[in-house]
Amino acid sequence: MKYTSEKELLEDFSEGKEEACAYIYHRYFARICLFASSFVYESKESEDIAEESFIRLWQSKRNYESIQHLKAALYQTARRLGLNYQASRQRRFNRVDTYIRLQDQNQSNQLQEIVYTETMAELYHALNKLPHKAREIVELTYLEGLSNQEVADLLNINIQTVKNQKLRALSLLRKLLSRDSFHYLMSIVFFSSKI
Amino acid sequence: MNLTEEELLIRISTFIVQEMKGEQRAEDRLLLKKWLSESPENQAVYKRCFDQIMQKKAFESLQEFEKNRDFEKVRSKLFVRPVSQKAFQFKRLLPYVAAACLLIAFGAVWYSNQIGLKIPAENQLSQTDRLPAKNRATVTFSDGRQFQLNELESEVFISYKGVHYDDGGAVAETQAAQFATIETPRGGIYDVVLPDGTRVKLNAATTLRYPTVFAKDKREVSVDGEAYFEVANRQNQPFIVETANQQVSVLGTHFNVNTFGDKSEIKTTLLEGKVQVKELTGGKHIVLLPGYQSLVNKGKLTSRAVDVEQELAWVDGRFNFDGKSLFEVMDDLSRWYNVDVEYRGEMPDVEFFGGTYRTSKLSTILKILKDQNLHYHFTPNGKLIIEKN
Repeated sequence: MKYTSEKELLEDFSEGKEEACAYIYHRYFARICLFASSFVYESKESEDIAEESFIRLWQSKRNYESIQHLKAALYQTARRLGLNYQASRQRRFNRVDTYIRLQDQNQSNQLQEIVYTETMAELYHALNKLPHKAREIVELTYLEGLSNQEVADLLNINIQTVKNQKLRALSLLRKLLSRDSFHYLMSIVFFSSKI
Repeated sequence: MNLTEEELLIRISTFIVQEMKGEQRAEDRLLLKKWLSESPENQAVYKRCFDQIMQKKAFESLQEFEKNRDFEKVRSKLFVRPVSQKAFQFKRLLPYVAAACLLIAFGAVWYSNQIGLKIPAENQLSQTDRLPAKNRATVTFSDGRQFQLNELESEVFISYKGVHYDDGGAVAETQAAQFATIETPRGGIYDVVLPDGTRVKLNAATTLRYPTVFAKDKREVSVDGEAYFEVANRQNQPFIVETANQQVSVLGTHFNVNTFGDKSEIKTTLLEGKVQVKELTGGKHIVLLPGYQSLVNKGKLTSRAVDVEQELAWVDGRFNFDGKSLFEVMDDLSRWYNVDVEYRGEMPDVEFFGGTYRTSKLSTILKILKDQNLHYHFTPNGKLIIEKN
Protein backbone atom coordinates (compact mmCIF):
# COMPACT_ATOMS: atom_id res chain seq x y z
CA MET A 1 0.00 0.00 0.00
CA LYS A 2 2.78 2.41 -0.86
CA TYR A 3 2.52 4.80 -3.76
CA THR A 4 5.40 6.97 -4.79
CA SER A 5 3.96 8.47 -7.91
CA GLU A 6 0.76 10.43 -8.17
CA LYS A 7 0.23 9.22 -11.70
CA GLU A 8 0.41 5.60 -10.69
CA LEU A 9 -2.00 6.17 -7.82
CA LEU A 10 -4.53 7.93 -10.03
CA GLU A 11 -4.27 5.29 -12.72
CA ASP A 12 -4.86 2.51 -10.25
CA PHE A 13 -7.70 4.46 -8.77
CA SER A 14 -9.46 4.93 -12.09
CA GLU A 15 -9.08 1.21 -12.72
CA GLY A 16 -10.83 0.55 -9.46
CA LYS A 17 -7.88 -1.06 -7.70
CA GLU A 18 -8.51 -1.69 -4.06
CA GLU A 19 -5.01 -0.65 -2.93
CA ALA A 20 -5.43 2.74 -4.52
CA CYS A 21 -8.73 3.27 -2.77
CA ALA A 22 -7.24 2.09 0.52
CA TYR A 23 -4.31 4.47 0.10
CA ILE A 24 -6.53 7.46 -0.62
CA TYR A 25 -8.83 6.55 2.23
CA HIS A 26 -5.91 6.21 4.61
CA ARG A 27 -4.37 9.47 3.54
CA TYR A 28 -7.45 11.69 3.61
CA PHE A 29 -9.96 10.11 5.95
CA ALA A 30 -9.10 12.16 9.05
CA ARG A 31 -9.19 15.50 7.27
CA ILE A 32 -12.51 14.81 5.58
CA CYS A 33 -13.86 13.92 9.03
CA LEU A 34 -12.52 17.21 10.33
CA PHE A 35 -14.15 19.05 7.46
CA ALA A 36 -17.45 17.21 7.96
CA SER A 37 -17.41 18.07 11.64
CA SER A 38 -18.23 21.65 10.75
CA PHE A 39 -21.68 20.45 9.66
CA VAL A 40 -22.58 18.12 12.51
CA TYR A 41 -22.38 17.89 16.28
CA GLU A 42 -21.20 14.33 16.79
CA SER A 43 -17.87 13.00 15.63
CA LYS A 44 -19.59 9.74 14.73
CA GLU A 45 -21.68 11.68 12.25
CA SER A 46 -18.58 13.28 10.74
CA GLU A 47 -17.13 9.84 10.24
CA ASP A 48 -20.32 8.64 8.58
CA ILE A 49 -20.17 11.56 6.17
CA ALA A 50 -16.50 10.94 5.44
CA GLU A 51 -17.11 7.25 4.86
CA GLU A 52 -19.95 7.99 2.51
CA SER A 53 -17.82 10.53 0.65
CA PHE A 54 -15.14 7.96 0.00
CA ILE A 55 -17.69 5.45 -1.14
CA ARG A 56 -19.16 7.94 -3.57
CA LEU A 57 -15.75 8.96 -4.82
CA TRP A 58 -14.99 5.34 -5.44
CA GLN A 59 -18.31 4.71 -7.13
CA SER A 60 -17.96 7.76 -9.34
CA LYS A 61 -15.30 5.86 -11.29
CA ARG A 62 -13.96 9.08 -12.73
CA ASN A 63 -10.54 9.87 -14.03
CA TYR A 64 -8.91 12.53 -11.93
CA GLU A 65 -6.19 14.62 -13.51
CA SER A 66 -4.42 15.23 -10.26
CA ILE A 67 -4.59 14.55 -6.56
CA GLN A 68 -5.83 18.12 -6.07
CA HIS A 69 -8.66 17.39 -8.44
CA LEU A 70 -9.54 14.22 -6.57
CA LYS A 71 -9.35 16.00 -3.23
CA ALA A 72 -11.61 18.73 -4.55
CA ALA A 73 -14.18 16.11 -5.55
CA LEU A 74 -13.91 14.58 -2.10
CA TYR A 75 -14.50 17.92 -0.38
CA GLN A 76 -17.34 18.70 -2.70
CA THR A 77 -19.08 15.42 -1.93
CA ALA A 78 -18.49 15.76 1.80
CA ARG A 79 -19.85 19.27 1.76
CA ARG A 80 -22.96 18.26 -0.11
CA LEU A 81 -23.56 15.40 2.31
CA GLY A 82 -22.92 17.70 5.23
CA LEU A 83 -25.43 20.22 3.98
CA ASN A 84 -28.00 17.49 3.44
CA TYR A 85 -27.34 16.31 6.94
CA GLN A 86 -27.91 19.77 8.31
CA ALA A 87 -31.02 20.18 6.23
CA SER A 88 -32.60 16.98 7.44
CA ARG A 89 -31.73 17.81 11.02
CA GLN A 90 -33.22 21.27 10.68
CA ARG A 91 -36.25 19.79 9.09
CA ARG A 92 -36.76 17.60 12.09
CA PHE A 93 -36.61 20.45 14.55
CA ASN A 94 -37.68 23.56 12.73
CA ARG A 95 -40.33 24.72 10.41
CA VAL A 96 -39.50 24.08 6.83
CA ASP A 97 -38.99 27.64 5.73
CA THR A 98 -36.41 28.44 8.38
CA TYR A 99 -34.08 25.59 7.61
CA ILE A 100 -33.63 26.65 4.04
CA ARG A 101 -32.63 30.09 5.20
CA LEU A 102 -30.19 28.72 7.74
CA GLN A 103 -28.65 26.57 5.09
CA ASP A 104 -28.05 29.55 2.84
CA GLN A 105 -26.42 31.48 5.63
CA ASN A 106 -23.96 28.76 6.48
CA GLN A 107 -22.95 27.90 3.00
CA SER A 108 -20.16 30.34 2.30
CA ASN A 109 -18.45 29.71 5.62
CA GLN A 110 -18.38 26.01 5.19
CA LEU A 111 -16.77 26.26 1.81
CA GLN A 112 -13.91 28.14 3.43
CA GLU A 113 -13.57 25.40 5.99
CA ILE A 114 -11.66 23.64 3.23
CA VAL A 115 -8.81 26.11 3.70
CA TYR A 116 -8.65 25.56 7.43
CA THR A 117 -8.95 21.78 7.12
CA GLU A 118 -6.32 21.43 4.42
CA THR A 119 -3.84 23.69 6.17
CA MET A 120 -4.25 21.91 9.49
CA ALA A 121 -4.06 18.48 7.87
CA GLU A 122 -0.83 19.35 6.07
CA LEU A 123 0.76 20.67 9.26
CA TYR A 124 -0.36 17.61 11.11
CA HIS A 125 1.11 15.46 8.38
CA ALA A 126 4.46 17.21 8.76
CA LEU A 127 4.43 16.68 12.51
CA ASN A 128 3.77 13.03 11.96
CA LYS A 129 6.89 12.70 9.86
CA LEU A 130 8.96 13.18 12.97
CA PRO A 131 10.73 10.10 14.33
CA HIS A 132 8.64 8.10 16.73
CA LYS A 133 10.22 9.16 19.99
CA ALA A 134 10.34 12.85 19.14
CA ARG A 135 6.79 12.76 17.92
CA GLU A 136 5.57 11.00 21.01
CA ILE A 137 7.06 13.69 23.18
CA VAL A 138 5.69 16.47 21.01
CA GLU A 139 2.25 14.92 21.20
CA LEU A 140 2.34 14.49 24.93
CA THR A 141 3.59 17.98 25.65
CA TYR A 142 1.70 19.78 22.98
CA LEU A 143 -1.48 17.88 22.26
CA GLU A 144 -1.95 16.39 25.70
CA GLY A 145 -0.55 19.44 27.43
CA LEU A 146 1.65 17.52 29.83
CA SER A 147 4.64 19.11 31.52
CA ASN A 148 8.17 17.83 30.96
CA GLN A 149 8.09 16.15 34.34
CA GLU A 150 4.78 14.46 33.59
CA VAL A 151 6.09 13.19 30.26
CA ALA A 152 9.23 11.90 31.94
CA ASP A 153 7.15 10.07 34.52
CA LEU A 154 4.78 8.68 31.94
CA LEU A 155 7.47 7.39 29.61
CA ASN A 156 9.66 6.40 32.51
CA ILE A 157 12.59 8.43 31.23
CA ASN A 158 14.83 11.14 32.59
CA ILE A 159 13.51 14.70 32.42
CA GLN A 160 16.71 15.73 30.66
CA THR A 161 15.96 13.15 27.97
CA VAL A 162 12.57 14.75 27.45
CA LYS A 163 14.17 18.17 27.01
CA ASN A 164 16.79 16.75 24.66
CA GLN A 165 14.18 14.98 22.59
CA LYS A 166 12.16 18.15 22.30
CA LEU A 167 15.16 20.08 21.06
CA ARG A 168 15.92 17.33 18.62
CA ALA A 169 12.34 17.36 17.36
CA LEU A 170 12.55 21.10 16.98
CA SER A 171 15.62 20.98 14.78
CA LEU A 172 14.18 18.13 12.76
CA LEU A 173 10.99 20.03 12.17
CA ARG A 174 13.04 23.03 11.14
CA LYS A 175 14.78 20.87 8.60
CA LEU A 176 11.52 19.35 7.44
CA LEU A 177 9.74 22.61 7.02
CA SER A 178 12.60 25.14 7.06
CA ARG A 179 12.87 28.93 7.24
CA ASP A 180 11.83 31.44 9.78
CA SER A 181 8.16 32.20 9.21
CA PHE A 182 7.49 28.70 10.32
CA HIS A 183 7.88 30.17 13.79
CA TYR A 184 4.10 30.25 14.12
CA LEU A 185 4.06 26.51 14.42
CA MET A 186 7.33 26.39 16.28
CA SER A 187 6.06 28.70 18.92
CA ILE A 188 2.94 26.76 19.59
CA VAL A 189 4.62 23.39 19.62
CA PHE A 190 7.68 24.14 21.59
CA PHE A 191 7.17 27.22 23.61
CA SER A 192 3.68 26.60 24.83
CA SER A 193 5.10 24.31 27.44
CA LYS A 194 8.36 25.44 28.94
CA ILE A 195 11.42 23.55 27.82
CA MET B 1 -19.39 18.90 -12.03
CA ASN B 2 -17.74 22.19 -11.34
CA LEU B 3 -14.73 21.88 -9.09
CA THR B 4 -13.12 25.25 -9.51
CA GLU B 5 -14.16 26.63 -6.13
CA GLU B 6 -12.93 23.64 -4.13
CA GLU B 7 -9.75 23.41 -6.15
CA LEU B 8 -9.03 27.07 -5.62
CA LEU B 9 -9.46 26.70 -1.87
CA ILE B 10 -7.12 23.73 -1.74
CA ARG B 11 -4.57 25.81 -3.61
CA ILE B 12 -5.02 28.68 -1.19
CA SER B 13 -4.30 26.32 1.67
CA THR B 14 -1.06 25.20 0.06
CA PHE B 15 -0.05 28.86 -0.16
CA ILE B 16 -0.71 29.22 3.54
CA VAL B 17 1.33 26.14 4.36
CA GLN B 18 4.12 27.48 2.18
CA GLU B 19 3.94 30.73 4.05
CA MET B 20 4.25 28.89 7.35
CA LYS B 21 7.24 27.06 6.01
CA GLY B 22 8.69 30.31 4.74
CA GLU B 23 8.86 29.03 1.21
CA GLN B 24 6.22 31.13 -0.43
CA ARG B 25 6.84 32.24 -3.97
CA ALA B 26 6.12 35.85 -4.87
CA GLU B 27 3.33 35.05 -7.31
CA ASP B 28 1.66 32.76 -4.77
CA ARG B 29 1.86 35.51 -2.21
CA LEU B 30 0.04 37.81 -4.62
CA LEU B 31 -2.68 35.27 -5.29
CA LEU B 32 -3.13 34.73 -1.57
CA LYS B 33 -3.33 38.47 -0.94
CA LYS B 34 -5.90 38.85 -3.65
CA TRP B 35 -7.99 36.06 -2.17
CA LEU B 36 -7.73 37.59 1.29
CA SER B 37 -8.93 40.93 -0.01
CA GLU B 38 -12.06 39.34 -1.46
CA SER B 39 -13.96 38.89 1.78
CA PRO B 40 -13.70 39.25 5.55
CA GLU B 41 -14.62 35.55 5.79
CA ASN B 42 -11.50 34.68 3.85
CA GLN B 43 -9.43 36.75 6.23
CA ALA B 44 -11.09 35.10 9.21
CA VAL B 45 -10.29 31.61 8.06
CA TYR B 46 -6.72 32.65 7.30
CA LYS B 47 -6.35 34.01 10.82
CA ARG B 48 -7.78 30.83 12.21
CA CYS B 49 -5.06 28.83 10.49
CA PHE B 50 -2.47 30.66 12.59
CA ASP B 51 -4.43 30.55 15.81
CA GLN B 52 -2.76 28.41 18.43
CA ILE B 53 -5.97 27.16 20.00
CA MET B 54 -7.53 26.33 16.66
CA GLN B 55 -4.40 24.45 15.61
CA LYS B 56 -4.42 22.42 18.77
CA LYS B 57 -8.10 21.66 18.33
CA ALA B 58 -7.60 20.54 14.76
CA PHE B 59 -4.64 18.31 15.61
CA GLU B 60 -6.58 16.68 18.39
CA SER B 61 -9.53 16.02 16.13
CA LEU B 62 -7.35 14.69 13.34
CA GLN B 63 -5.66 12.36 15.78
CA GLU B 64 -8.98 11.15 17.10
CA PHE B 65 -10.35 10.56 13.62
CA GLU B 66 -7.23 8.67 12.64
CA LYS B 67 -7.85 6.29 15.49
CA ASN B 68 -11.23 5.47 14.03
CA ARG B 69 -9.93 5.11 10.51
CA ASP B 70 -10.82 1.64 9.32
CA PHE B 71 -10.75 0.84 5.64
CA GLU B 72 -12.68 -2.34 6.28
CA LYS B 73 -15.79 -0.26 6.96
CA VAL B 74 -15.67 1.30 3.53
CA ARG B 75 -14.49 -1.82 1.79
CA SER B 76 -17.33 -3.93 3.11
CA LYS B 77 -19.76 -1.52 1.53
CA LEU B 78 -17.99 -1.35 -1.78
CA PHE B 79 -17.34 -4.95 -2.46
CA VAL B 80 -20.14 -7.41 -2.35
CA ARG B 81 -18.87 -10.89 -1.76
CA PRO B 82 -20.56 -14.25 -1.57
CA VAL B 83 -20.45 -15.83 1.86
CA SER B 84 -18.22 -18.65 0.71
CA GLN B 85 -15.32 -16.28 0.17
CA LYS B 86 -15.51 -14.46 3.41
CA ALA B 87 -16.79 -15.55 6.76
CA PHE B 88 -19.33 -13.45 8.57
CA GLN B 89 -17.18 -11.12 10.56
CA PHE B 90 -18.98 -8.15 11.79
CA LYS B 91 -22.50 -8.17 12.93
CA ARG B 92 -22.07 -4.80 14.49
CA LEU B 93 -24.78 -3.55 16.71
CA LEU B 94 -26.78 -0.73 15.33
CA PRO B 95 -25.63 2.68 16.48
CA TYR B 96 -29.02 4.25 16.16
CA VAL B 97 -30.28 3.30 19.56
CA ALA B 98 -31.83 6.71 19.91
CA ALA B 99 -34.50 6.05 17.37
CA ALA B 100 -37.09 3.51 18.16
CA CYS B 101 -37.85 1.58 15.06
CA LEU B 102 -40.13 -1.18 14.11
CA LEU B 103 -40.06 -3.18 10.98
CA ILE B 104 -43.02 -5.09 9.78
CA ALA B 105 -42.84 -7.36 6.81
CA PHE B 106 -45.82 -9.07 5.40
CA GLY B 107 -46.02 -11.08 2.28
CA ALA B 108 -47.32 -9.92 -1.02
CA VAL B 109 -46.29 -12.16 -3.84
CA TRP B 110 -49.33 -11.15 -5.80
CA TYR B 111 -48.46 -7.58 -5.19
CA SER B 112 -45.33 -7.30 -7.25
CA ASN B 113 -47.11 -8.93 -10.17
CA GLN B 114 -49.92 -6.44 -9.94
CA ILE B 115 -47.64 -3.44 -9.72
CA GLY B 116 -45.29 -4.77 -12.34
CA LEU B 117 -47.96 -4.52 -14.97
CA LYS B 118 -48.52 -0.84 -14.40
CA ILE B 119 -45.05 0.53 -14.61
CA PRO B 120 -43.02 -0.58 -17.63
CA ALA B 121 -44.57 1.89 -20.02
CA GLU B 122 -43.35 4.96 -18.16
CA ASN B 123 -40.01 3.61 -17.01
CA GLN B 124 -37.41 3.42 -19.72
CA LEU B 125 -36.66 -0.27 -19.91
CA SER B 126 -33.05 -0.58 -20.87
CA GLN B 127 -31.89 -3.86 -22.23
CA THR B 128 -28.57 -3.67 -20.46
CA ASP B 129 -29.03 -1.99 -17.12
CA ARG B 130 -31.38 -0.29 -14.69
CA LEU B 131 -31.12 2.89 -12.67
CA PRO B 132 -32.05 2.89 -8.98
CA ALA B 133 -35.40 4.01 -7.63
CA LYS B 134 -36.37 7.67 -8.01
CA ASN B 135 -38.76 9.93 -6.14
CA ARG B 136 -42.01 8.80 -7.60
CA ALA B 137 -45.46 8.27 -6.12
CA THR B 138 -49.13 8.76 -6.78
CA VAL B 139 -51.73 10.27 -4.45
CA THR B 140 -55.24 8.92 -4.85
CA PHE B 141 -58.21 10.34 -2.96
CA SER B 142 -61.19 8.17 -2.11
CA ASP B 143 -63.27 10.20 -4.52
CA GLY B 144 -61.11 8.91 -7.34
CA ARG B 145 -58.94 11.94 -8.04
CA GLN B 146 -55.32 11.00 -8.74
CA PHE B 147 -52.11 13.06 -8.72
CA GLN B 148 -48.53 12.21 -9.62
CA LEU B 149 -45.95 13.56 -7.18
CA ASN B 150 -43.04 15.59 -8.49
CA GLU B 151 -39.82 13.66 -9.11
CA LEU B 152 -37.80 16.68 -8.09
CA GLU B 153 -39.30 16.65 -4.60
CA SER B 154 -38.68 13.88 -2.14
CA GLU B 155 -41.36 14.38 0.46
CA VAL B 156 -44.92 15.58 0.80
CA PHE B 157 -46.76 17.02 3.76
CA ILE B 158 -50.30 16.01 4.51
CA SER B 159 -52.66 18.44 6.17
CA TYR B 160 -56.40 18.33 6.67
CA LYS B 161 -56.67 20.62 3.69
CA GLY B 162 -54.65 18.57 1.29
CA VAL B 163 -51.19 17.53 0.15
CA HIS B 164 -48.30 19.93 -0.38
CA TYR B 165 -44.52 20.06 -0.77
CA ASP B 166 -41.79 21.45 1.46
CA ASP B 167 -42.04 24.92 -0.03
CA GLY B 168 -45.81 25.04 0.36
CA GLY B 169 -46.51 24.21 -3.29
CA ALA B 170 -49.85 22.39 -3.37
CA VAL B 171 -50.29 18.96 -4.90
CA ALA B 172 -54.01 18.63 -4.34
CA GLU B 173 -56.83 19.58 -2.02
CA THR B 174 -58.66 17.04 0.09
CA GLN B 175 -62.12 18.39 -0.80
CA ALA B 176 -64.73 15.91 0.48
CA ALA B 177 -62.52 12.81 0.33
CA GLN B 178 -62.37 10.78 3.56
CA PHE B 179 -59.36 8.67 2.72
CA ALA B 180 -56.33 8.92 0.53
CA THR B 181 -53.53 6.61 -0.51
CA ILE B 182 -49.98 7.38 -1.47
CA GLU B 183 -48.49 4.69 -3.60
CA THR B 184 -44.93 4.26 -4.82
CA PRO B 185 -44.44 2.10 -7.89
CA ARG B 186 -41.64 -0.37 -8.29
CA GLY B 187 -38.55 1.79 -8.78
CA GLY B 188 -40.12 4.66 -6.81
CA ILE B 189 -39.73 6.03 -3.28
CA TYR B 190 -41.22 8.95 -1.37
CA ASP B 191 -41.40 10.42 2.13
CA VAL B 192 -44.67 11.49 3.68
CA VAL B 193 -45.31 13.70 6.70
CA LEU B 194 -48.74 13.09 8.22
CA PRO B 195 -50.83 15.90 9.80
CA ASP B 196 -49.74 14.90 13.33
CA GLY B 197 -46.07 15.28 12.34
CA THR B 198 -45.45 11.56 11.95
CA ARG B 199 -42.92 10.90 9.22
CA VAL B 200 -43.28 7.93 6.93
CA LYS B 201 -40.63 6.79 4.50
CA LEU B 202 -42.09 4.64 1.74
CA ASN B 203 -39.95 2.02 0.07
CA ALA B 204 -40.56 0.98 -3.53
CA ALA B 205 -43.88 -0.71 -4.40
CA THR B 206 -45.60 0.44 -1.24
CA THR B 207 -49.04 1.82 -0.48
CA LEU B 208 -49.90 3.95 2.52
CA ARG B 209 -53.59 4.55 3.22
CA TYR B 210 -54.65 7.24 5.65
CA PRO B 211 -57.82 9.05 6.71
CA THR B 212 -57.86 12.70 5.70
CA VAL B 213 -58.82 13.45 9.31
CA PHE B 214 -57.56 11.28 12.17
CA ALA B 215 -60.10 9.99 14.70
CA LYS B 216 -59.97 11.66 18.13
CA ASP B 217 -58.94 8.51 19.98
CA LYS B 218 -56.57 6.96 17.47
CA ARG B 219 -54.43 7.60 14.43
CA GLU B 220 -54.98 4.71 12.11
CA VAL B 221 -53.22 4.06 8.81
CA SER B 222 -52.60 0.95 6.75
CA VAL B 223 -49.58 -0.13 4.81
CA ASP B 224 -48.87 -2.60 2.10
CA GLY B 225 -45.23 -2.83 1.14
CA GLU B 226 -42.49 -1.39 3.29
CA ALA B 227 -42.43 1.84 5.23
CA TYR B 228 -40.39 3.37 8.02
CA PHE B 229 -42.34 5.38 10.59
CA GLU B 230 -41.23 8.08 12.99
CA VAL B 231 -44.36 8.48 15.01
CA ALA B 232 -45.10 11.77 16.72
CA ASN B 233 -45.87 11.29 20.38
CA ARG B 234 -49.52 11.80 21.34
CA GLN B 235 -50.56 10.57 24.72
CA ASN B 236 -54.19 9.64 24.24
CA GLN B 237 -54.18 8.98 20.54
CA PRO B 238 -52.28 5.78 19.75
CA PHE B 239 -50.82 5.28 16.32
CA ILE B 240 -52.03 2.09 14.67
CA VAL B 241 -50.67 0.47 11.54
CA GLU B 242 -52.89 -2.12 9.97
CA THR B 243 -51.89 -4.70 7.47
CA ALA B 244 -53.75 -7.64 5.95
CA ASN B 245 -53.97 -9.72 9.11
CA GLN B 246 -52.01 -7.81 11.68
CA GLN B 247 -52.31 -4.66 13.72
CA VAL B 248 -49.49 -2.76 15.39
CA SER B 249 -50.22 -0.17 18.05
CA VAL B 250 -47.70 2.43 19.08
CA LEU B 251 -48.01 5.17 21.59
CA GLY B 252 -45.33 7.35 20.10
CA THR B 253 -42.11 5.99 18.71
CA HIS B 254 -40.22 5.48 15.49
CA PHE B 255 -40.89 2.40 13.49
CA ASN B 256 -40.71 0.81 10.12
CA VAL B 257 -43.22 -1.26 8.20
CA ASN B 258 -42.41 -3.70 5.45
CA THR B 259 -44.76 -5.98 3.60
CA PHE B 260 -42.45 -8.04 1.45
CA GLY B 261 -41.71 -11.59 2.41
CA ASP B 262 -42.68 -15.09 1.56
CA LYS B 263 -46.31 -15.87 1.02
CA SER B 264 -48.39 -14.27 3.71
CA GLU B 265 -45.86 -13.73 6.46
CA ILE B 266 -45.59 -10.46 8.33
CA LYS B 267 -42.41 -9.41 10.07
CA THR B 268 -42.35 -6.69 12.69
CA THR B 269 -39.02 -5.54 14.08
CA LEU B 270 -38.55 -3.12 16.90
CA LEU B 271 -35.42 -1.09 17.50
CA GLU B 272 -36.47 0.84 20.54
CA GLY B 273 -39.63 1.77 22.33
CA LYS B 274 -42.63 -0.44 22.83
CA VAL B 275 -45.26 -1.70 20.47
CA GLN B 276 -48.00 -4.22 20.62
CA VAL B 277 -48.43 -6.62 17.72
CA LYS B 278 -51.78 -8.27 17.28
CA GLU B 279 -52.58 -11.12 14.96
CA LEU B 280 -56.09 -10.47 13.69
CA THR B 281 -57.48 -13.90 12.84
CA GLY B 282 -56.71 -15.53 16.19
CA GLY B 283 -56.58 -12.30 18.18
CA LYS B 284 -53.34 -13.23 19.94
CA HIS B 285 -51.00 -10.35 20.75
CA ILE B 286 -47.48 -9.79 22.05
CA VAL B 287 -45.49 -6.79 23.22
CA LEU B 288 -42.26 -6.50 21.27
CA LEU B 289 -38.95 -5.63 22.89
CA PRO B 290 -36.22 -3.68 21.08
CA GLY B 291 -34.08 -5.86 18.84
CA TYR B 292 -36.84 -8.42 18.48
CA GLN B 293 -38.90 -9.28 15.49
CA SER B 294 -42.35 -10.80 15.47
CA LEU B 295 -43.54 -13.11 12.76
CA VAL B 296 -47.12 -13.67 11.76
CA ASN B 297 -47.50 -16.66 9.52
CA LYS B 298 -50.63 -18.68 8.85
CA GLY B 299 -52.36 -17.35 11.93
CA LYS B 300 -49.37 -18.00 14.20
CA LEU B 301 -47.56 -15.24 16.08
CA THR B 302 -43.95 -15.77 17.19
CA SER B 303 -40.94 -13.58 17.96
CA ARG B 304 -37.15 -13.81 17.84
CA ALA B 305 -34.03 -11.63 18.18
CA VAL B 306 -32.76 -10.19 14.89
CA ASP B 307 -30.00 -8.10 13.34
CA VAL B 308 -31.79 -4.77 13.22
CA GLU B 309 -29.10 -3.13 11.15
CA GLN B 310 -29.82 -5.52 8.34
CA GLU B 311 -33.57 -5.06 8.65
CA LEU B 312 -33.23 -1.31 8.44
CA ALA B 313 -30.50 -1.08 5.82
CA TRP B 314 -32.97 0.31 3.30
CA VAL B 315 -33.79 3.29 5.50
CA ASP B 316 -30.10 4.18 5.34
CA GLY B 317 -30.10 3.74 1.59
CA ARG B 318 -28.23 0.48 1.64
CA PHE B 319 -28.73 -3.06 0.49
CA ASN B 320 -27.63 -5.62 3.04
CA PHE B 321 -27.34 -9.08 1.59
CA ASP B 322 -25.84 -10.82 4.61
CA GLY B 323 -27.04 -14.38 4.72
CA LYS B 324 -29.70 -13.84 2.09
CA SER B 325 -30.56 -16.35 -0.59
CA LEU B 326 -30.46 -15.62 -4.29
CA PHE B 327 -34.23 -15.31 -4.39
CA GLU B 328 -34.38 -12.92 -1.46
CA VAL B 329 -31.70 -10.71 -2.99
CA MET B 330 -33.34 -10.69 -6.40
CA ASP B 331 -36.75 -10.01 -4.89
CA ASP B 332 -35.43 -6.84 -3.29
CA LEU B 333 -33.62 -5.80 -6.47
CA SER B 334 -36.67 -6.38 -8.64
CA ARG B 335 -38.66 -3.83 -6.64
CA TRP B 336 -35.93 -1.26 -6.40
CA TYR B 337 -34.94 -1.42 -10.06
CA ASN B 338 -38.39 -2.23 -11.35
CA VAL B 339 -37.38 -5.31 -13.19
CA ASP B 340 -39.00 -8.72 -13.57
CA VAL B 341 -36.70 -11.63 -12.96
CA GLU B 342 -36.81 -15.04 -14.57
CA TYR B 343 -34.63 -17.97 -13.55
CA ARG B 344 -33.55 -20.48 -16.17
CA GLY B 345 -32.40 -23.85 -14.93
CA GLU B 346 -31.73 -24.90 -11.38
CA MET B 347 -30.39 -22.14 -9.14
CA PRO B 348 -27.63 -22.83 -6.62
CA ASP B 349 -28.48 -22.70 -2.94
CA VAL B 350 -26.15 -19.87 -1.89
CA GLU B 351 -25.90 -17.20 0.73
CA PHE B 352 -24.65 -13.73 -0.06
CA PHE B 353 -22.51 -11.49 2.05
CA GLY B 354 -22.04 -7.75 2.21
CA GLY B 355 -24.05 -5.02 0.63
CA THR B 356 -23.87 -1.82 -1.27
CA TYR B 357 -25.61 1.47 -1.80
CA ARG B 358 -29.05 1.71 -3.24
CA THR B 359 -27.82 4.46 -5.52
CA SER B 360 -25.79 1.93 -7.50
CA LYS B 361 -26.78 0.91 -10.96
CA LEU B 362 -28.24 -2.56 -11.20
CA SER B 363 -25.34 -3.85 -13.29
CA THR B 364 -22.92 -2.95 -10.49
CA ILE B 365 -24.79 -5.12 -8.04
CA LEU B 366 -25.34 -7.97 -10.44
CA LYS B 367 -21.59 -8.56 -10.42
CA ILE B 368 -22.26 -10.66 -7.34
CA LEU B 369 -23.79 -13.28 -9.59
CA LYS B 370 -20.48 -13.93 -11.31
CA ASP B 371 -18.96 -15.41 -8.19
CA GLN B 372 -21.80 -17.88 -8.05
CA ASN B 373 -21.23 -18.97 -11.64
CA LEU B 374 -24.39 -17.31 -12.75
CA HIS B 375 -24.82 -14.88 -15.57
CA TYR B 376 -27.59 -12.60 -16.66
CA HIS B 377 -28.98 -10.74 -19.62
CA PHE B 378 -32.00 -8.64 -20.41
CA THR B 379 -34.61 -9.72 -22.91
CA PRO B 380 -35.82 -7.25 -25.56
CA ASN B 381 -38.84 -6.41 -23.41
CA GLY B 382 -36.64 -5.67 -20.41
CA LYS B 383 -36.93 -8.84 -18.38
CA LEU B 384 -33.87 -9.94 -16.44
CA ILE B 385 -32.89 -13.53 -17.16
CA ILE B 386 -30.59 -15.36 -14.76
CA GLU B 387 -28.90 -18.54 -15.90
CA LYS B 388 -26.20 -20.93 -14.82
CA ASN B 389 -22.95 -20.66 -16.75
